[in-house]
Amino acid sequence: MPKILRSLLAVMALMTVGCVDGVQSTLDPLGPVAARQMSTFMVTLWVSLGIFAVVGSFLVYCIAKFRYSGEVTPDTPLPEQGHGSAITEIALILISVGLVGVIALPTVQGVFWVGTEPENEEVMVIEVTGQQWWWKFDYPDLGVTCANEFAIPAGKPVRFNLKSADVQHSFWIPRLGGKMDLLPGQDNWLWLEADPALLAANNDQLSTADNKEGMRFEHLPDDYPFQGYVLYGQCAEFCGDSHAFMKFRCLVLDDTNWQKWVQWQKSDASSTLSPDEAKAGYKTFAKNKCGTCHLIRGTNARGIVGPDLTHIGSRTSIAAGWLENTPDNLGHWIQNPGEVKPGNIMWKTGYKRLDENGEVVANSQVEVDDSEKDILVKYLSSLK
Amino acid sequence: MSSENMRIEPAPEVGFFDKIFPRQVQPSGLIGWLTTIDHKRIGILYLVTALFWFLVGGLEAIMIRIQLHKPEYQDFVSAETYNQLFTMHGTTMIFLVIMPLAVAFFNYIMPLQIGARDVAFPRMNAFSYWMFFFGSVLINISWLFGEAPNMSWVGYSPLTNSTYTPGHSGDFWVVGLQILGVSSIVGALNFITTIVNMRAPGMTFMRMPVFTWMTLITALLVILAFPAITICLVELMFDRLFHTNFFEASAGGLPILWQHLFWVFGHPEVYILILPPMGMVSEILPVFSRKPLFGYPLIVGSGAAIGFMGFTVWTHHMFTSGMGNIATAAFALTTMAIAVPTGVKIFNWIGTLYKGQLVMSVPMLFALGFIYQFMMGGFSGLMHANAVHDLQQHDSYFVVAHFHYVLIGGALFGTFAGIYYWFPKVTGKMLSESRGKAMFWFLFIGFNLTFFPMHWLGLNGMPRRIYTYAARNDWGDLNLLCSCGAILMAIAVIIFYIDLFMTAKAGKACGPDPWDGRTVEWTIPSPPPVYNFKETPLVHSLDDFWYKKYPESAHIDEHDDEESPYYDEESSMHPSDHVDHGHHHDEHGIHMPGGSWFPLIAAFGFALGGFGIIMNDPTGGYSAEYLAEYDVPALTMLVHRFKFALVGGLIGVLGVFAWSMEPIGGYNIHFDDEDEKAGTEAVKESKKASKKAAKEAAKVEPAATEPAKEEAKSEDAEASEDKADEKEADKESDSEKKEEE
Repeated sequence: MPKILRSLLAVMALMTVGCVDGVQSTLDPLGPVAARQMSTFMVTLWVSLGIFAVVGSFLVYCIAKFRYSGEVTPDTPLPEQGHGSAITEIALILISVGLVGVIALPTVQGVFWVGTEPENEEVMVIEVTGQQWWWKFDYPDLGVTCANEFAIPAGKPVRFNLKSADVQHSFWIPRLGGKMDLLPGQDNWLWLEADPALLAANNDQLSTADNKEGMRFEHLPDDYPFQGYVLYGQCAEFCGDSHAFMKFRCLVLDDTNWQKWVQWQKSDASSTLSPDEAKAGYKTFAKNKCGTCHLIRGTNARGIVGPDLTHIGSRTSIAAGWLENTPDNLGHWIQNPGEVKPGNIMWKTGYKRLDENGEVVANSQVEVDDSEKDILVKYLSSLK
Repeated sequence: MSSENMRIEPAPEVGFFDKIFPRQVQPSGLIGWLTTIDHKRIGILYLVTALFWFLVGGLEAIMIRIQLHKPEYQDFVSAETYNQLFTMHGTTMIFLVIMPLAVAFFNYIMPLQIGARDVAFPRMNAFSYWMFFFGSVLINISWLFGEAPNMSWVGYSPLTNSTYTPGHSGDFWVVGLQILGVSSIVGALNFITTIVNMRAPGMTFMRMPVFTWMTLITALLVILAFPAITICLVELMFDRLFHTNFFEASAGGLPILWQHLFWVFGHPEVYILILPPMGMVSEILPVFSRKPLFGYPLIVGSGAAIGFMGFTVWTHHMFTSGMGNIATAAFALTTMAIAVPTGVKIFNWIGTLYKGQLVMSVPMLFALGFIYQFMMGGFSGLMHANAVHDLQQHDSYFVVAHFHYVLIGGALFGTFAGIYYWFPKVTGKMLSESRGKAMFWFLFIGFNLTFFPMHWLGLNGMPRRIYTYAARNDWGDLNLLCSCGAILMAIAVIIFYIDLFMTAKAGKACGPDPWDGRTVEWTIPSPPPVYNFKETPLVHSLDDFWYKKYPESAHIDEHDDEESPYYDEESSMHPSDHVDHGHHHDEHGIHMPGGSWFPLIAAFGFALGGFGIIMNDPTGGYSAEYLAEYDVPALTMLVHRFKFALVGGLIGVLGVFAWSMEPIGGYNIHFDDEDEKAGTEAVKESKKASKKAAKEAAKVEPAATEPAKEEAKSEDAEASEDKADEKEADKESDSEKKEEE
């Protein structure tokens, strides 16, 4: 292969990887599954680039060389009327079959490797339930339940058992590995693992200058009770109106922080407000019947239809990973859930709604006014 | 061949039903189009309808790109509208644009390529068009009710059931697609019958033009694939209307069943979309390279192989649905295997270019663009076949990039090549070279600018079908680039429509063979007379017309001297081929069937029935009080609920019944002149004419930037047309007049 061609290919491959370094990049793996997937991808990519270089250059050569710029008249001599060549055809077919074989082998190996739980290792189980449009995470062995934000220990394989409560969803943390669908009536699963070495390497890169600020990789915020990293995930199967807003965050913690996180998650809600203020907050919460659907452990709010709000004040995000957890966002979300996530069940079944002409189209009790909103925001933000 | 020599006589009335159901004898004007059963007119109807929906689908695409041009943008359309836009964009482009565009060519070009008078079942052909027409209208009027389908073009269960998609939007989609499916299956049966039975004498299967071959393979795919989607659509319709439980997991139904049935149809469907343009490109490359197609048998064989293997790979759309390792690995391998015949096609196309005389006319530019972009789409397809990383790619923008490369870069570029190539045959006028080239470059650059960055977006983790995305994800810049590219594509499309309009108004006239073509459709006048071929052509070889024009070229390649597989005048006529091949001197002349209202009426009835099903009223029109007080029998309730559907169905059935009772009717065309030119003489003449026309086309080209000049020149060109041509044209217009009388 000529030198120029080789360097051109190298540049193209670099571009491919270099442009793909966002927080949900598939080519910047942080775990063994994503790394395996990426390495087989690179095999395909290189084979394709090789074929592209050869066939593409031949195409360009043919166009440049045999382009006929003059007029075609009856006297123009015809080109050679060759209609094919058996040897060329057989050779090209054999080469194609060979190249497909080069891709096929790592693919088949990879399919079985990715699709088989690692042996000789303790595998933690997390039950994931997808619903329109949020995620519920259960740790059956630990007795922990949380919503839209969950944690895994670094360096330990995790098995995700995937279930859907309504329509089809797909669970995807690109930097840890490929996705798997959540289908009602079907038990799917996948395993993922966050690799501490890759995390550490990325952590170093985090401080280098060429990194766009906060784009490549993220630490947990300073006011979060533990140290760790945030990975971003998202539903990848169209699931209705607010499909785009069905996101989640995966916290990766080291062993010490992980143990602390589990203990903390098991504990009941504790408000940082004064008891009186907390009581007033809860009263507003109860008055608007939030407890029918939401759970705040340690109170009488015991709903299981909606996300668990026990530690909502400590979450980095609200509304299934779509909004940052700030008082403004929380207030907006509480007052106008239909605007943040069109069609969501909280808005559809809980809230009083008006149509374009101001007529009541759904008569429900909930209509949060500004003063109530402030109380609720203060109360919920205090649930650490 | 002067016009006086042609007479038209209505066919004699043969019986009772002639009085009840008189058939139209080629009426003019609107009624002529509504009752037409002429494959050429039906082809034009398909083309015009598809080009209309192309505008609608394009508008939807532009709105999608506006919505996505920057992160966290929520001011343009609502999430629900966005979902309707991408659902209808996909449905429209696949079922109402690319498929019917191909069908337009099947209708118009395929019978001409095999030397046939029409398709085998002309009224079924009209029925197929009207079903398509009403089906496409039915799906799209959902916009007027504010209930456009919004559950994506794959309609995954259980999102599509009446719990998660209440209202009529799902019904519009389900019923509309079923009606379109009927249209496709009826059309496919027609094309298969036509190709198998109605080829000109001497045209063995291995002398068929590649486009006709691809028509045959595509039609076979349609009749094998569409039953699968029909089944799942009917099941879904029952789930929605009568609360059956085919896909209801809580009652033991299987949502995954939908995916299997849908993709058993869906994957062959993508070959249904791409094989016809592959056929067009395989016609165009040899013409503009002025040498035979490289490896004709392999091009045909790989087309058949791709079609067959299309049924063995459907679950590669479902690698993330939890099928287990063995199924995943097996389907990854079958998918990779398809890369081989696809690669063969690309090699052979480039082989056709090699050592040719490449004339860079607009059809050729589009064909070359097709090769490049289809190759790119092939590579990303190969990357999907890698089931390990496909778990990452699945339902991401990488997939969006892939199938747009195949469907726009491939299918649409191929179809545009076909439109520019056959437009002179259809209208007798040349589309403008200069505007065509401008259109090509805008489309080529715009397309690659729009869709190439999507590969990176997908690898960067952007899922499909999302209404908006977070700024944190860093997808904004590339999405803005994609949206800019979409504007260039829109400009290209506008240029194309302007070109069509201006050519229709004042296009340069052309002879029967403007491109120096190779197949028999170029032997007849442009536009072809209603009877197509005055004498059924005798076909001695593949590229028959070419070898008749250039008999010397059959032996240019020394290796062919002995076997000469492409020109075999003596030996390979089947004895029966010589028996009465459309001899027109017999007493009946050429019989042309008359028009018929019944395909239109039947299709209208079935579409109305579909509309009745969509708009069914579960209360049957009874008030709630009445229902509370009285017990309405289930059957009565059902009749009331579906009364409009029943009326529509009845009209449809009566239409079919009347259609079957319709007499033969029509008229006979007689040519009285005994010593007119025929056979090889006509061929020689049209060869001369075509060369002249080509010459003139070349002359006009440089001046074409200035429309005024171009027009002047094209008038010149018209004036200097070969006399034979003029006569042809005369005869043509006269015959039309006569027919109108």
